[in-house]
Amino acid sequence: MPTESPAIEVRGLTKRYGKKVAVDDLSFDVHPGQVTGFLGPNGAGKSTTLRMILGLDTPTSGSALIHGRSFATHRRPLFEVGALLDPKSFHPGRSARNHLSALALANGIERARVDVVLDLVGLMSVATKRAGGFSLGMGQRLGIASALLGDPDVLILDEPINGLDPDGILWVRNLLRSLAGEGRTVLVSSHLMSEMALTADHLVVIGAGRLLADDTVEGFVAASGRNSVRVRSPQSEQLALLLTNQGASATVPALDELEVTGVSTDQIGDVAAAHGITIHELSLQQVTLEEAFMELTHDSVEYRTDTPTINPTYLNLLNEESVAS
Amino acid sequence: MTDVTVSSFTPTTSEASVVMDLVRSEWAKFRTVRSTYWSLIAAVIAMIGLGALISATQSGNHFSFDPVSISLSGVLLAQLAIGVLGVLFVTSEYSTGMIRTTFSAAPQRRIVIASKAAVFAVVALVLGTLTSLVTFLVGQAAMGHLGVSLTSPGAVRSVVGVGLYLGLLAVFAVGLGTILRSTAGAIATLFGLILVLPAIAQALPASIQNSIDKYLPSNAGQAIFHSIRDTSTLSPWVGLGVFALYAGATLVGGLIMVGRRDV
Repeated sequence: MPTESPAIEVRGLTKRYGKKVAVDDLSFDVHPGQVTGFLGPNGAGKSTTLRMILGLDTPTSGSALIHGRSFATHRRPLFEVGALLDPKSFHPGRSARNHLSALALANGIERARVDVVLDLVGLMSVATKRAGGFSLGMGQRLGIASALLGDPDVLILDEPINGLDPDGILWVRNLLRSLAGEGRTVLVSSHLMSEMALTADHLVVIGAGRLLADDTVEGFVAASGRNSVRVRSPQSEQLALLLTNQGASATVPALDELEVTGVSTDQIGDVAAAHGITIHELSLQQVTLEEAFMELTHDSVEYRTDTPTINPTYLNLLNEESVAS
Repeated sequence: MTDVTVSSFTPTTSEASVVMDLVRSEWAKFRTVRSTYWSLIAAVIAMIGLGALISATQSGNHFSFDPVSISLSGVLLAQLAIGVLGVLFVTSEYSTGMIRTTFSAAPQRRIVIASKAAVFAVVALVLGTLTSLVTFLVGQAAMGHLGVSLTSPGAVRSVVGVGLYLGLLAVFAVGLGTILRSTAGAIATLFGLILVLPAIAQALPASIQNSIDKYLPSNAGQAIFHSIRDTSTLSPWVGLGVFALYAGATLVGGLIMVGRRDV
């Protein structure tokens, strides 16, 4: 567990647009030395939160501090906070090198640093090309270069792997891990849980603007209510009865098989031994991070396809047809 | 490339102030896009070309024949290029998303916009004055025996005045771009104010027109390059002062808004 004080402190952060609440009383800390994944379905308020941390949007209430100060009070912020907000947040007519040079000048960063970061992100060969011709992935790389320009302690990256090819994704993952390994604070948003499972140490999950989870990756999965134990036993019916008496619930997916929730593998083993029940298999069915995430955010997803949107009249017609046939 | 080392850099911060850093940054941005050069070339060609063309066709028998301002009439076209460039200097950052990168490198938003205004105003002032001088000389030569020299009354003031007018117009355009953020909206508003408004005023009854017309932004500002005065215009420096108020108020409005709004 991190012992250092948090680099980013978000306290009661709220953003309303008219009646719509984009971010709702959000509080969490981001610690140095680890990658913190900022997760949520599309429209959960991730980008709005990051914009408020970066002082671009003013919170309706609450605060976001970086190193104990609001972003707007940093005089040369690139030395302390590097940010990537959009993959295409540059002028398309300007070359990558000129884009970075202008940013470097704004913070009094020595010009030699521009080529260092261009080399670092692999854009050296296209440094003089107009950035408007860049692919989405190259745009992300240029954005990452600008975030690294001032060699900051804190990195805030909004969906940095969008548009990257597998090589690029691996590169970003290694980059983020090594930045965190150097003791930096890395806050990276994504709507892809599978990616965060590989990159992040800690997760902050939001849905509909509210905090849903703030936990380590392992803790997040363990806390998911859907973890179950698979048991195979020739006396499965007897075992099911004994376990349900102990407050567990059990389903029977197949003959001689049980799926038990509410008790640990140890408890099941003990119960079986006490009653002389033969066990052929006893295994913890841990949900994947993806499943835990889906479970957690299911209710807060704004745009969803699995809810029936067919109107009742149409359903009635279908029923009548099926009756007729 | 899976091995990434980032820690080999020690930041060296120059001693110059944040303001100078931002001015340098905006100057670098200004110099590194093509639209800057196209617009400035268009302004220069329009000013010299139109000035020469109009000068060459003068017969000189108009009762208020003003050879100085006639030679400089290309500024009416050049101002559009300057205005568009000033608007784009700001609105292109909004339309591309660059503005978020800019403001996350420099949270001092008002200084950023003020730096933009300063950089472009100086460019417009210097380029405008130099081009105006060339335009004047070319125009007077094209007028033949009707031409006058720089020593004629109001000539130097008019030549320098074109530069001052374009410098203030640059401030005006940056301010409008900041307030409106959209390229189309800001350009339409700018053209409306400097071209359409005077035309509308022409349609008003003479009594109202006389009291309004000379205070309109472009009419007031352009008084500085009329060497012969008539009662329908403000005196040169008063006119320029009125135009400076418009430009300054617009920029201040932009500065106030950019500090308050979400980006």
